[in-house]
Amino acid sequence: MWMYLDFPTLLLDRMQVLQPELKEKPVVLFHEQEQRVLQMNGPAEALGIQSGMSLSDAWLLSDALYTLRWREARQRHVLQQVATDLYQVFAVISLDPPAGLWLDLTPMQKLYPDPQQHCVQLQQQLSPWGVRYHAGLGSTPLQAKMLAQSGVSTVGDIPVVYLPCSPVLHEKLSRMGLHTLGALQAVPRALAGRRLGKELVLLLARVQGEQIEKLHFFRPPEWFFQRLELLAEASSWQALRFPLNRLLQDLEYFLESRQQETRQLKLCFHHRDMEPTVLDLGFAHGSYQAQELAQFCQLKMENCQLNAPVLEISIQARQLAPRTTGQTDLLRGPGRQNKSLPRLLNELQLRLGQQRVWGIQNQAEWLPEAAWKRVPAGQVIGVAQTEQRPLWLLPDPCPIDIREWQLLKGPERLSTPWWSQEVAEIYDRDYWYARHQKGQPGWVFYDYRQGCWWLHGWFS
Amino acid sequence: MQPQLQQLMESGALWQGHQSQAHDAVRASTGDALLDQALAGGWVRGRVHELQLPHSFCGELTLFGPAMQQAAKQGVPIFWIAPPAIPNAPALASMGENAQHIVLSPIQASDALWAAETILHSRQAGMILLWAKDLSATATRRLHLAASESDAFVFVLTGWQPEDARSYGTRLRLHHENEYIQWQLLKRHGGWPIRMPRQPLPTWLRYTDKPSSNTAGAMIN
Repeated sequence: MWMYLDFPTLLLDRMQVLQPELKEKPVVLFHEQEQRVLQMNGPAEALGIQSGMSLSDAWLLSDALYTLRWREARQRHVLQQVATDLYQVFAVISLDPPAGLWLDLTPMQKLYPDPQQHCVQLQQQLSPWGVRYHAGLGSTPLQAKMLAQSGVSTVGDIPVVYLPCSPVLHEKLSRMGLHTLGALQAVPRALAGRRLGKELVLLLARVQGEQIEKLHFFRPPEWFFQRLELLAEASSWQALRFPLNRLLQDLEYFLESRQQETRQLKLCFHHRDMEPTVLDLGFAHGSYQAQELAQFCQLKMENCQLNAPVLEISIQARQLAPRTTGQTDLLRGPGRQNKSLPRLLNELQLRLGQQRVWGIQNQAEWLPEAAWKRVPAGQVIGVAQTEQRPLWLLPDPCPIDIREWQLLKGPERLSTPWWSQEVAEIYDRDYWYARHQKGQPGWVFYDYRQGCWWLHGWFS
Repeated sequence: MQPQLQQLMESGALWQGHQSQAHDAVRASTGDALLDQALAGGWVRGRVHELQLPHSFCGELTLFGPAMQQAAKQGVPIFWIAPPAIPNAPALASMGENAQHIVLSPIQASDALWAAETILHSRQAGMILLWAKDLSATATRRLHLAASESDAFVFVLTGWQPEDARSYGTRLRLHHENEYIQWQLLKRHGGWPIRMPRQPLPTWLRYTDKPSSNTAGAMIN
C-alpha cells in the first residue's frame, strides 16, 4: 500500500510560517524563465490568480501583488525537511521532487493496524509545518501519485492527463476518446500496445504494479541547515534578532527530536553585492536550547561589525553529538545555581575567545613546560608527578643575571632521556631554588647547551 | 503536610536534606594565625577582598591555600582571571586532585571585569582571583553586588591604591622589604586598621611539601 503526498504550494506555505507577515497580503511565487505563477497563497487565490497563469495577467488582477522568485533548490530543501520530520512516524519514505513524496505503508501495518491511523499520524506530524497537502492512497506508487494529484477517489476515474507520458501520447488518447484511466484499462492491452506504442504498455504495467517502480529511499540528513529570506533589508544586529530566533527554534526542534546537541554553529548573513558575513560559533560544551543559543549568538554579534544590510540569513549546525547531561546534587537542589557550568564556560569563551579560557592539568613528564598541559576548561587538575615545584611558571623562561641571585638548594638536573633523544627537543638543565636580591624565591636553571642562566618560575 | 510528618519534624527525628549542608563554612582561614585573628576568622564568602601588592610573587597566594582547598573539596571551580604567570599544575595538585582550575587570559581589563561579574552571577565559582591594574569605584561596586549574591571567595589583586572609600569587604596592603613582608589592614570588618608584625616571605612550598621533607622551607626561614 502506498501513500503519495502532493504539496502544491510547499515553498510558499513554508515561507508564510517563517514570516507570518506574508499571510495578510497576496503573494505569488513565479518561475523566473517562463514568467508564470507557480504557487499562490489564500488572498492571491481569492483575487482569481491561478497556478500556471502568466505573471503579467496576475499583475492585472491586483497591483498590490507581492511576487517572489520560486527557487527549485529551496523547494527541494523544504521537501527534505518535511521528509525528515515524517521520518519520525514513517519508516519508508521516497522523495519525488520538487513537490511530493511517497510513503510505503506496508511496513508500518504492524504499528498502525487501522488504516485510519496513518492519516491521523500524518496530520499530527504535518500540522506544525502549516503546509497544504493532498494525499492519495493506492496499491502502486504511480496510482497513489495520480490519485493525489487529480483528487478523484477511484483509480478508474483518474483523468488520463495525469499519466506521466509525452504530450503526443496524451493527444492520441484524447482523440481516441479515452479520457479516464478506467476507459484506457478496458481496452485490451495487446490492442492498445499495437495502436499506441510500447510507452503506453510500460506505463500501464507500472500503474498496475506489474513492473516494480525504482525508488530511492530517503535517509535523514546528519546535520542541520536552514536559510531565511528577510522581508526587508536589515542593517543592524537588533533587527536580525527575531528572524534568527525563528531559525534557532527550528534548530532546537531538530535537535530535540534527535536527542542531540550541537557544538558548532555557522551563521551566514548574505548581502546584496558582497561576500556574506560569516560568524563561526564553537562551543566547548554542547547546547541545544534556542534561548541559550540565541544568547551565545548575541555575545558573538556584539563583537562583530555589520558592514552592509542583510538580505538573507542561513544557519548551519554541524558536530552534532548525543546529549550529555550533567549531574546535580540531589540535596542541594537546582535552585542554588543560576546557570550550568558548561553554559557559563561557553559564554566566557564566546566573549573572550576560545583560546583564552582554559584549564590546567598535570602530565607525567619531567620537563617543567611539559609537566602541565592546557586542557578544555572544566577538567580536573589530576595528580602531580613531581615534587617541590614552584607555584608560578613563566610562559617562557627569561634570561637573568645570576649575580642578582643567591642559589639556595639544588641542583636538580633535568635532561632529555636517552630514549627520546631522537624525537624530542634536547635539553640539559640544572634547576636551583634561588633567592633574588629583593627577597623573592625563584626557580632558576643553568642551560648547558646555551651556557647561561634562566628564570623559570616563582615559589611565592 | 501530613500531621505525622509534621510531628516527626518537630521532634527533630527527621533529617532534612537542604538543612544538612549547613552551608559549607562561611569563612576560610588565611593560613596565618595572627591574620586570622585580625580578620575575625579569615576570609568571608560573598565579599570582595582586595590585596594591594607592590609587585607580584611576594607570597600573597599562600593566604588563599585553605580557601582553595575548601573550593576543591566542594568540587566547584577556581577561576584565575588574568594571572601574572601560568599557575603551575604540579604545585597546585596538593590543593586537591579533583579541583578544577580555570584560567582566563582576557586581552582587555573590561573583559576581565565582565568575566568576573558573569562568573559570580552564575554562582558556579568557588573562588575567583582577579588581577587588575586598578578598578574604578563603579567597577568595585558592581563586583561587590555580584559577589554578595554568590558564595564564592573573591579576591582582587592590584597594585597600591589611594585610600579613598571603596566597597571592598577587606583591604590589605602588602609591604615588601627584602626577605620580609608585612601586611597592613586598611579596612576590615569590625575593627580599626592595623599593621601586622613583619614576617619572613612565605612560599607556596608549605602546601606542597610533605612535613618530613620541609628542607627548602626551613632554609629560607
